[in-house]
Amino acid sequence: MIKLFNLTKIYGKLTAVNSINLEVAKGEIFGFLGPNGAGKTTTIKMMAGLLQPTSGSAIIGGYDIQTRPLEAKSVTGFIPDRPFLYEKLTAVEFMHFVASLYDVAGAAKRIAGLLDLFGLTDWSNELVENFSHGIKQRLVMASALLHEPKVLVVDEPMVGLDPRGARLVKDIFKDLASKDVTVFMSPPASSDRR
Amino acid sequence: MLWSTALASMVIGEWFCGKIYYDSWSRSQEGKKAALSRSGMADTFFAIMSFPFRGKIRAIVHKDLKLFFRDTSQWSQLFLLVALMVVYIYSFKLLPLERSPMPTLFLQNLISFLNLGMVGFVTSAVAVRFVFPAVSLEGASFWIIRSSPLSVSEFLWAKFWSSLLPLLVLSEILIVLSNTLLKVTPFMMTLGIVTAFMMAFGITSLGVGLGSVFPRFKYENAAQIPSGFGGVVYMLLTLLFIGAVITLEAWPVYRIFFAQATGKHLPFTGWIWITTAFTLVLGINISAFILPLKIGLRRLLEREI
Repeated sequence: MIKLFNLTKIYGKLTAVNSINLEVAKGEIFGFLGPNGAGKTTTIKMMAGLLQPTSGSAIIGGYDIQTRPLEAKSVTGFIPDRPFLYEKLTAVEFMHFVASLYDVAGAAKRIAGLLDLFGLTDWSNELVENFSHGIKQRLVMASALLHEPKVLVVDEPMVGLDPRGARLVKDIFKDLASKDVTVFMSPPASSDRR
Repeated sequence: MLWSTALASMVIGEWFCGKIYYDSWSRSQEGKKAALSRSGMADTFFAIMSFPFRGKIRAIVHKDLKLFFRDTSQWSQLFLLVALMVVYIYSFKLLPLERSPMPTLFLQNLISFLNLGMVGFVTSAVAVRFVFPAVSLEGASFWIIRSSPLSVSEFLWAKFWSSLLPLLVLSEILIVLSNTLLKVTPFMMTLGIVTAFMMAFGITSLGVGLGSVFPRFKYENAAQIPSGFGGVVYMLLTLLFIGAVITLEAWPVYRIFFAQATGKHLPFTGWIWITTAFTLVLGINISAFILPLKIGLRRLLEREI
């Protein structure tokens, strides 16, 4: 489901990612570990189509992110390390916006279900600017699952989550993997051993 | 009397502010509601405004409208803008044309022609504040767009169309109202309407395109975005564009107007020059429409976030 071939990213004289090769099968939860500055976020951003690789390629769900970016992105759910959102939208409006970007059919029902799953129902009509970091992170996760992605690419998912939230997310990832969704995850360096 | 009124105002003001200050400050720290812009009426307004668009472009326009009207730092400047427009248009009503030593008809049409350039400048001044920042306003949330299956060109078109329509309405209102007050000839009215229509495309495209070349995703206030280098480049290029259009139109317009006023026919060579000048105007307008969007698209595709 995920194939990285000699994926490399060079910024001037700095080689941030040096020829990564890996393969992750369908339904697998893949922990992408490494110390700070090892290039985890850079690799993840290249997989999400936010950065152009200097060389090599990333195949997501059978699509090369460089040559067929829209197809690759349509099967990918991306959760960044920092949940920057549109502060003046409500949670439910943000979900509807994302649903439109991914052409999600029957969005209203799915949105209600996901908001409930992530414990956001009470927050659904609040503006995002009133949310804590953890609530924003939950909203990003809910939105990443809206289009039922085949691949979930997650950068430091537990940052800002309380223990209950972290447990919830772990359970959700396990459940997704049991439904053949591939989860590619980079936990923060401090929690690699957990 | 003055002193006592000032003193009384101070005492009353201090008493009143003392009463409401703590409560107001405390409430300002609570969750914001944006009640007005989230009302059913506002929803209907947003739905109507985004009605001409479809699919993902509609979603972007709908989102942008909500963000715009919920951010008071954005729309509050519209009041100032409307006031300036009213003063601008009203000034035409007060022009003492009949007291001028020049023939009134000639003067009316000369002012109408110069007004065409002014309308272009006013439109570009509005655009540098509201169109140029369109891409930058995505801010740190731009990852949502870039990681989604929305192409960058669709994104730019969404920004273009949603910016073009208000600018088009603004420039046409300005040109029609000012020309009506000036009582210009039908030829000048038509020329004004057509030129303003064409220039709105170029002004918008320059705004969206250069806004993509010089995006500023990190800002504290939206008003900061046009104050940088990109904003200055935009204003210079827009002025150059409007100047080129007006200069190229000046001579043929004078010839046509003069022929109409004196009842003389234009020679064939005159028509050739006029056609050449208007073709160049069309060419400049098409270039100003296409090139900035193309360059902006390329730069935005290259940009890493």
